[in-house]
Amino acid sequence: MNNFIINKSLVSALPLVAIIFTSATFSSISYANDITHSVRSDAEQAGSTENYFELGILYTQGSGPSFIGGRNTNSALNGYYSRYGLIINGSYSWNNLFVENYSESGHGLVFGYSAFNNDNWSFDLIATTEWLKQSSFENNGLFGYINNKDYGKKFTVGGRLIGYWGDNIVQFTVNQDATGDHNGTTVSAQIGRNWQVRNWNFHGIFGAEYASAKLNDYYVGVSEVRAAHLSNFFEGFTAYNAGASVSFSTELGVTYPISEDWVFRLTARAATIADELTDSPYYVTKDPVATSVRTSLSYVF
Amino acid sequence: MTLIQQNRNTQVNIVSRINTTVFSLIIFGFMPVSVNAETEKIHISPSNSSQLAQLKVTPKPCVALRKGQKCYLEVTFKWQHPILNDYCLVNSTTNKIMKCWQRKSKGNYSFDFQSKLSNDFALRKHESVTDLAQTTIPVAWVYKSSKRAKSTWRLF
Repeated sequence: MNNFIINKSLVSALPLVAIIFTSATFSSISYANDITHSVRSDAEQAGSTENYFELGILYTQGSGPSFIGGRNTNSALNGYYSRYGLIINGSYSWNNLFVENYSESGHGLVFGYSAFNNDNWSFDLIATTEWLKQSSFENNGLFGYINNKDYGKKFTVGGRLIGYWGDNIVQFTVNQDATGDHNGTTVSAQIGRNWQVRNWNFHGIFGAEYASAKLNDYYVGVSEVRAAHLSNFFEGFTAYNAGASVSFSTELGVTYPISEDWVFRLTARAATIADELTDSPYYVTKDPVATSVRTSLSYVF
Repeated sequence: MTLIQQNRNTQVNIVSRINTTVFSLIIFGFMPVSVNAETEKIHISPSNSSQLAQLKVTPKPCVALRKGQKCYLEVTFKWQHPILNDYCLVNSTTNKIMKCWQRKSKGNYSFDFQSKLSNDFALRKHESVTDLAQTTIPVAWVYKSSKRAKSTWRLF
């Protein structure tokens, strides 16, 4: 039954995506990359029509609130984790359509339509496989599996407005779940800046993100039935309804071009994890702030 | 000595003379070239002297992250020339004299390269515009995207 609803909702979202893509005009135009990429590469007013592909390896070490049954049980219990991963960055634009993937963004594969673009502003309609986890680098909780949620069918649609003022970039996004799983919504605002010190490119991003109660409750809410079931395994496991939340995040990083093909990055991030999330009995530790340090080496094709 | 023997001796002499002449022609045929080459080494004309001048810069290229960024690189130039003279290192892209040497046949110069574009450099005689040797510091980028195009609303 649940699968039927998901599939039905996905089908209902497809016409919207189809409209976005088929309504593209055929003028030559560029679009603006996600702030997490633009601010790292000093795109500033350059924005980009950037067709490129980048592959690398990423190492992350961090700490934050831990989730029962997190992906790594040992680290989940004490809130610390370290992991290796792949960096797959790339973008391709064709007329006003684009597809992009930036591993540093915390989003999934983004399909978009560049609706407006001038020297200072850019507005894109976007559909993505994963957006509803701005703090995913720090908040391991959303990776938990004990909440019995299907993580394989994320799909959101929304809009992205990006503004450029010199070395500063602002980005506002609205994303709505299109799978029908929870109909959750996120609204985020981020401001970033790049500083070039010789060939080192430093950047800073500050952001705030609102997540709707539907979204939070889907991931960390506990129904009466589930609470009754899990209380057999975990002491004091009670039902929980999560409310809407606002979290803040900040990051500082540096990007260095080792050669024409190789890029080194180092990023430190901190994000608040709202009480609306950590009050859930799914959380073992309830640190209000999660931190991470990521370093990567990637090859740009 | 019989007539036959005399004829044989004459033939042998002729053959040996021919061989000697051919050998001499071969030898003397090359001699003037060798002499000329030696002469060139001794009397270096301005045009030829440039072939013997050397100008190198290390390291290179200069790599910036994105096209349009200024690239920074500490570089060292090394030059040499077979003739003692007054020379200058010139940025031929900006037409700016970087450093001059008096009565030198070789020299080093280190400086902090800062540019958004590749720059050409040359070794010239003092107050000359003729390049004796040339080199380039290429500027390369990782991300080569172009400036954003201007546009207006075009939704649907």
